[in-house]
Amino acid sequence: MSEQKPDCVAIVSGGFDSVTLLHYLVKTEHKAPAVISFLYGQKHSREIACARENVALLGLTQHQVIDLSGLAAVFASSALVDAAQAIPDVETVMGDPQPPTYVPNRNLIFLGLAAAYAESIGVSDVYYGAQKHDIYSYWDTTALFLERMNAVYALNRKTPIQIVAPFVNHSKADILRVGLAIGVEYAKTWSCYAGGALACGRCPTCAERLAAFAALGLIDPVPYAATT
Amino acid sequence: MCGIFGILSIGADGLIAAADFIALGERNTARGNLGFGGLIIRDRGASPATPIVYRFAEPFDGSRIPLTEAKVALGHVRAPTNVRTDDLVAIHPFETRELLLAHNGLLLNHAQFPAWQINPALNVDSGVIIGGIQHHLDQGAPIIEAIGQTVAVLDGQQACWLWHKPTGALYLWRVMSPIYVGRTSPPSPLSVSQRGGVIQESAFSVIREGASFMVIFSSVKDEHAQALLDEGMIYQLAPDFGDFRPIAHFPFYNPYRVR
Repeated sequence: MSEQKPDCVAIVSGGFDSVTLLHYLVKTEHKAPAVISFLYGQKHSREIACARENVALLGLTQHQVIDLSGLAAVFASSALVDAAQAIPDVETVMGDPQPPTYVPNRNLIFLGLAAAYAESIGVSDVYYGAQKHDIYSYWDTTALFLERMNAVYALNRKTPIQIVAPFVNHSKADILRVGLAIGVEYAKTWSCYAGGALACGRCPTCAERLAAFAALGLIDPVPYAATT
Repeated sequence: MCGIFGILSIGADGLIAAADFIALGERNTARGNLGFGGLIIRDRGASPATPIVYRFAEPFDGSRIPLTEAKVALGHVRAPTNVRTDDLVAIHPFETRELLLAHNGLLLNHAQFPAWQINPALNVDSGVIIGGIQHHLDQGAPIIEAIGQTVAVLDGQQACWLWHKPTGALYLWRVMSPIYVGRTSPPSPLSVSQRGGVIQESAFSVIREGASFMVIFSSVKDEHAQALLDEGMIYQLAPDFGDFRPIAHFPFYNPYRVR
């Protein structure tokens, strides 16, 4: 694919949702995203390798991997960052308004940096992979959050940024349908929070991912240490 | 979203230790601590028992709960999803003519049921659960059907306790949000029904043999409450407090569960 001037920014962690979003933007929306990913001290930093792999697969040339791992102390109350905290099983976090997997203010910070990147390269749209069921646990994935972030960025005098979450009304299974239809290779995504060589099969994101594949009668190609 | 919890005295005339209930409430504040409420039952054997309702728009303070001679003690600690009001009307339990309900979880489609909303100005998702059940009662449905017909169409997380005033029966159910349950004396986990919609006789049938104990339920797992109630199952504490068992199931959707 020839080098193309970016027309938007996409935040891609390397996980199921954001990788599908990236493929969707390129293959369905015919966008040329500049990609931004973040290292923030997360146990599952191997997701970034998946982000890199998919960026390369799609022939995209603009990929910023922002290393915030020096700020891990800022996010240290999260089980995704704090080595002393175990990643919780899905059953224990359901109904918890802010479970241990919440990373303090992470999404606002990431969106802020992505908005800065967009402004620097002269594009207006920032895409991220929020999906329907994220709101069970994370206040910074809701439609209201998105609306208010956009209200703030609309104040920008020269480059009003718009944050767009195309999958915000999609379940994981819906996203999987989209991804399979456009050829996403889910073996090249990583979701598990636990940071092991194999996906744990028990954390909230593993549970949701396994259920999405099962809902479509499929097996997740990612290797699991245990399934429930 | 919030935490729900309770202690139920089953069998003989055991009274709930205030310290036990307060400790249970304090453990649940990890799931929210912007207001607390619940109900207390003292007059077991009355027909029906009289709920003593408490609500406080402040962080949990167990000393304010009227726990003296309690035989049922139910609680809720609050972590509101959208509503930030300190008005007592936003504190659980929510109430209709026949019902008192506390809810932990978040519904995604409650806006589709405006006719069920008991407080349109507040527009809290929990208001649709109790309003829907009351609606079906008003249409002549028995209480179990009223619960089932309401919760089966709601998309989202639900862990609820519901007090039915006319009969003095208590109901619990859950979808996604946990309700851990167990009992004291002996301190063994509750044997819950099997998954797959099979309704089984409850382990609490031992009450018919004269045993007595406390049932503890909680959004937070602890040394007593370790078994999860089945999703999509309605459990009932009978009005005579002699039996706590699953009595009906309803369809549900859990995007985190392989089915």
